[in-house]
Amino acid sequence: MKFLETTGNYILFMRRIFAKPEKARVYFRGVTDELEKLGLNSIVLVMIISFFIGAVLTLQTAYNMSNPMLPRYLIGYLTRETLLLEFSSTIVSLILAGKIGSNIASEIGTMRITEQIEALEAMGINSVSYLVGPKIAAALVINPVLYVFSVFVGIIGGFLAGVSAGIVNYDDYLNGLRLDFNPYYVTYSIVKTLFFALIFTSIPAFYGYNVRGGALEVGKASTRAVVDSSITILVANLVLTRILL
Amino acid sequence: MIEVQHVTKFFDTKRVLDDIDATFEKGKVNLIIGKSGSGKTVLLKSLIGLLPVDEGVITFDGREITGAHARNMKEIRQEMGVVFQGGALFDSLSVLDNVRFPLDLFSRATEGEKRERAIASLRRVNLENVETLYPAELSGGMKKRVAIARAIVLRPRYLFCDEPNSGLDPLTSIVIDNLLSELTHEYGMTTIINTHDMNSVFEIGENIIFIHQGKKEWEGDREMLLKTTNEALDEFLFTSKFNRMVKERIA
Ligand SMILES: Nc1ncnc2c1ncn2[C@@H]1O[C@H](COP(=O)(O)OP(=O)(O)OP(=O)(O)O)[C@@H](O)[C@H]1O
Ligand SMILES: [Mg+2]
Repeated sequence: MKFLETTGNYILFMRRIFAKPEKARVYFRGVTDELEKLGLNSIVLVMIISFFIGAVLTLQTAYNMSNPMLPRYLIGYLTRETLLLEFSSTIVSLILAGKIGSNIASEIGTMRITEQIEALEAMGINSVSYLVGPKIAAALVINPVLYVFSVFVGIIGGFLAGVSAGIVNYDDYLNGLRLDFNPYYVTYSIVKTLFFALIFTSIPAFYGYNVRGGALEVGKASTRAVVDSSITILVANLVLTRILL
Repeated sequence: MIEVQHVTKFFDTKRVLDDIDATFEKGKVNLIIGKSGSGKTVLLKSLIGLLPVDEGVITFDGREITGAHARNMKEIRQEMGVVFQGGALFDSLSVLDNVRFPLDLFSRATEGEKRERAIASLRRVNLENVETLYPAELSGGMKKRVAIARAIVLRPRYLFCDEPNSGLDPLTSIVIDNLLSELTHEYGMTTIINTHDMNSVFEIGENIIFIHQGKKEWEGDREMLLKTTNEALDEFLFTSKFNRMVKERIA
């Protein structure tokens, strides 16, 4: 019952996001601000994580291929496939759900309990579309970009780790990367990153917006936002994979 | 002038405002007083159009905003300033951008003019050289002033303040009260202030309504307060020893 009610309220909330913004200029400035905030805040984190995961993926694949019958180029191939299909889209989005999601929930929650949202409404602004719209727009732009960065940095991480550990050589790794490349996998993953961006911005915004009470409730909303957006991302991942692949 | 007729508001089954009638006059400081939980904030937010009322009529100089006439609110929003209890300054914006915010929304002035007007508004509340600070860097009293500067930057016809001096020391409170009173007379605004601060009541109250358990129990001016025979109001005003003493001296 509670779940249905929350879902219903979330849908109503989303409808308010897509209502026409009152003043395009103010709204546009919001988008550029958010791009800067989201982009700068997450790109370094995503690069660091992707680099190390790429490295570990390569090493693990290599150690698991003790059978000399298996060609060494498979190492590069498998690293690429894992990054391309799953890590750089889903896992990166889960990480961002933790970082950006909790940020959004506490920012908007704080605005709620300090009456900043009412101040916006009193000035006649659609507070939902004003506050949340730019965040979603920015995340929709940024998340595919982060995906591409993550794949590249992951592959570089894998290459450096593999070559420096002497378990795969330059040519094998590169051949593996080129092997059997299916561009549709990129399309599929980019579509996923768009859905995930929508999820990890709008669900935390929804929880933040509906905070009642004080700082304690803001903290709770922020935790709940991260948990729920992570679960939603996992479910969406399953559904999108069934539909798209 | 803002008129309120038979306004009733429920939260679930709880009647928070009960058949309230009131007239708030132009060019005067109108106070809504009452103890905590009596419904002052709910009444103020109903006037601002942030909470829909269940029954009754609210008009701003003849323009109704209740029920089917909610559309009128759009135009009135540009004519009103609101000072929320904690100031409600936007944390992510500097002082200057906070004060400029309503201009960015509603004014067609050039960037330079908007800046000028925002700075003039800050000066009017006696703040200088704080433009680049952020709300977190201000004291409570300064925040209130910036909030007032933001509320008056469009030269509103109506000004609403929810407990403008909560959390301030008595001296700063008096400064803020007098500032609000001066601005009201200077701009000829219809000002409505929620308060349970006795000093404010006697300092600046010109037209006072007393809310008790969601009902309007009393209305009048400062002089009449001292002679009130209303039990709830008497209790509200004169429970403290000091206030009781003052009352007895005057009598
Ligand atoms: N959103 C809400 N939902 C349910 N009940 C509410 C809501 N807002 C206020 N109330 C109730 O309405 C009553 C009046 O509250 P209100 O905030 O107007 O009091 P107040 O006079 O402003 O008090 P204070 O001086 O403490 O600010 C209280 O009993 C409060 O619990
Ligand atoms: Mg109140």
